[in-house]
Amino acid sequence: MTEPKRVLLGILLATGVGWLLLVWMPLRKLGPASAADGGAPFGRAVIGGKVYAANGCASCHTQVVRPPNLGSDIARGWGARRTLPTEYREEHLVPLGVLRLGPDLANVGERRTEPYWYYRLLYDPRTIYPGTLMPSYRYLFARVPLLGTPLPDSLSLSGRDAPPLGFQVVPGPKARGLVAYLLSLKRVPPGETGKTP
Amino acid sequence: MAKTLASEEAPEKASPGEAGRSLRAPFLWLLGPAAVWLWVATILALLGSLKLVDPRFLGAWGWLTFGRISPAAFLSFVYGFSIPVGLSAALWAVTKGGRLPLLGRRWCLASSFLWNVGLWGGITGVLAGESRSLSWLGLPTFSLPSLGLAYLLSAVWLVAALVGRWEETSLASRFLLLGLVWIPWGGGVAALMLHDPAVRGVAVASLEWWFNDGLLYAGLGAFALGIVYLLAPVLLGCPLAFPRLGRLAFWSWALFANLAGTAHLVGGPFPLWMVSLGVSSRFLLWVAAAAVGVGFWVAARGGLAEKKVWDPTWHFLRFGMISFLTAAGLGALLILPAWSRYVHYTVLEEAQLILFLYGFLSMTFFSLLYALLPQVLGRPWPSPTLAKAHFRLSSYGISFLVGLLVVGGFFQGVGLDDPELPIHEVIVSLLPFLRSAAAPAMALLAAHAVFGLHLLWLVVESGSNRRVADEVAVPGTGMEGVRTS
Amino acid sequence: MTREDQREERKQESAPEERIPCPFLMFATVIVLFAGAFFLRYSGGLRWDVYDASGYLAGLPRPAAPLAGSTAPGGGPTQKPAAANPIEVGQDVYQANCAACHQPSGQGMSGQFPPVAGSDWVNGDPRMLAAIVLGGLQGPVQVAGAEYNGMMPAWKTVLSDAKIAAVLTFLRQSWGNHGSAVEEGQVKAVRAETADHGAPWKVEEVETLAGKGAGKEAK
Repeated sequence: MTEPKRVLLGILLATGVGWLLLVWMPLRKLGPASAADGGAPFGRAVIGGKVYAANGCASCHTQVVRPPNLGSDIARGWGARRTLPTEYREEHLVPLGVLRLGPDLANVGERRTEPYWYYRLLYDPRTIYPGTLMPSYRYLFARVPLLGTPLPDSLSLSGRDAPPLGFQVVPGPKARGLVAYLLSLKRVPPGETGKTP
Repeated sequence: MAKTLASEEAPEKASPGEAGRSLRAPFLWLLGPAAVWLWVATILALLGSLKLVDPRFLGAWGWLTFGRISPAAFLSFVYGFSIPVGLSAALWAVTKGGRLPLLGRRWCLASSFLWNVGLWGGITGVLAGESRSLSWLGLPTFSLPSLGLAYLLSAVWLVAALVGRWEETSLASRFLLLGLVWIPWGGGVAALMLHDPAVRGVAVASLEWWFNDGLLYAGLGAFALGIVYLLAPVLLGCPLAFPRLGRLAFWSWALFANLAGTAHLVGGPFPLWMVSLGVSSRFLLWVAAAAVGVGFWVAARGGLAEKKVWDPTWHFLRFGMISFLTAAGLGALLILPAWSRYVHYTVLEEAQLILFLYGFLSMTFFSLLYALLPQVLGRPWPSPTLAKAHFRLSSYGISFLVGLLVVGGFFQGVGLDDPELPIHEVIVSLLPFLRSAAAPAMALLAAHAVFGLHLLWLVVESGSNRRVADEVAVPGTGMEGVRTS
Repeated sequence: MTREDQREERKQESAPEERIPCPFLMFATVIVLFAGAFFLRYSGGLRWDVYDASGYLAGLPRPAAPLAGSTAPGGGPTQKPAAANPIEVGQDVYQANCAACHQPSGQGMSGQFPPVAGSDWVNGDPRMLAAIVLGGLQGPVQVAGAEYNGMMPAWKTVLSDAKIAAVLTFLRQSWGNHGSAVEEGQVKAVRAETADHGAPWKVEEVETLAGKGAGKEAK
């Protein structure tokens, strides 16, 4: 075998080593219980997960609780314990995240259980956290005519945000999916009280 | 073959040779759109930066929400600018600056067209909300076939030529080969696996990071290192010192770039050995980087005494090498678990990424363009002042951007580590740094604008006194760049 | 490639080769040794179920209280929390090392990993339990009325006696289990007693340890 072929083969093998150790083996050892699609999550939360990914929530939020010797995550109440592979075992979406310009969301469904709070936050984060960096996601909401009484999850808005008379602002399907996804983020399993406040 | 294969694989600096002219069309096809993508990337990055100044800026428009433009900026930088420039470096290397024919040269046009169509669709898709939020794998599915086909159309010929015209001693060919081969290997496997429903669980994340670091270090980093080895003989008058050490560095680079990705997953849901493997690999990559660097500086000390004229190629290359060594060192040191608890998930890691992307990759690529384009187009760069302005603006821009993020990231990290301090306050304390980062981002935009104008000037000028036969190609290629914008 | 070129390159290749700067060699040696040592120290036995490490380079644990932590010297703060509350330490150890199989809820996975909640093995003789955790368990076993046939790895090289004692205490006093606490000394004794037992335990072997036969499967 000539030298260039050896180099080429060497490169292919070196890449293969990385793939084998970091992709193939974790998939076998830490991956889904069976290769069939059966265990994967389904329903509205899955749509919400796609919204989460598409709008780049993972640019500023993580979904990892680090162990106590690697950060204050547990002390902050972001989770009762470090994140384990079992929590992602069947999920296609593993948004561990790269940057924390906002809180960790691994267990946000545990901390905030009220959908309306999320709708408020997504529509205008500054009404909840003044001066926050979080952008508004009002393009996930819809303005619909107000007929009779407002819909149960229409937002009560005032000031500049208030819709014109005869209209109401309701979460669109994507906002509903996203909130369903966020509410589903409860990685602290049942039966475990943990240290979360 | 032995006779025609002139020894220097790099261009002769002094005389813009006739040989380079034959590369004119493929180069313009590759680099014209690349310059436009650089612009797109910079504008998107600046928009993202302005959104950190005030998130309400253009806030109501989903297409421009921060979470979409910031990946779009990185993606268009990597796929629009870096990969085509890397391909053109390989093209230059295998044709010995146009002196040797390349079998698949005519496919360059089709390749560039497909690539840019695919990427155009892909970036639009990211902005429209079709992304899966997987960092460098974030391009939507529908753009992948076109991108893959385009890459293969040009890379297959390049690899075949590189292997066919192998030179024992050339480290440039090794690094370019690594880049050429890694990208389809890693990208193809990653794309296929991500579309397999059986691939679930944390392996998705380790796949993501294997690809991210592989693309950065073994793909684009290898291109840029190949360029360093390609340019050094011309600039310094001699190849980089310690070739045997360089070969060792090459193999460690090729191997450990593939293993380094898990270093990002410190504290994540992965077995200890995976994380430790990543951390150790980062340190070994640092050693490999230092081995390249030491060869560079030793060669530079010998070869540079007589340089008097301000030479953009050298300045860009030197800045690139300094950034490379700093980024490799930071990449190793920051990731050590002892203090990754303070720096993980902060903008300090972002600073390291930016130093690698903009400081090393883009500056080295510019150095290549400043060296090669005069020969390809048969004209020197029209204005040394513009080149100097480009260098000043981008070097200051990158330094300040990285500096601000490093300091800001340090504050953010210490704040995040204190559980008593609400996250909201931590981020508010980070805001001054993020907001001032808009200024260097502006400087970078200006730098790339200067470069774009300079390039346009060069192309137009070189086209104005060409033979009629070629004249058709020039406006065409110019137009192409405009169209893809 | 012409002859002159080759000679020229040979010259360039051989001349500087001997003079690789000493600082670089030192730097490279130190870093390579460090990287190797780091991986060996924190490889977690290359196991898929070891997630956490302690020690300087793995990140020191968060000090328990501000006044204790503010002046904690480097020496032994890793041991501090162990003294604090065995249940809490045990919970951390469990979540980091055991929960991947036995699940964070202690319920196991039906057919694959036996539950620890409500298991008579957990509530029974602490010596048998300690021996299983130390040495691992292989082969068919009856837990909470169901048959399992798997392989539990050994933990004696990974976890200290104190941590094993803490996790056993946690196991025996959580999820409705009502066993007694386990002391570090008990684990140490079992470790010494079973030191010559290499392979994972079989159920019959581990039952001989109990001696009195207390706390067997009463189903």
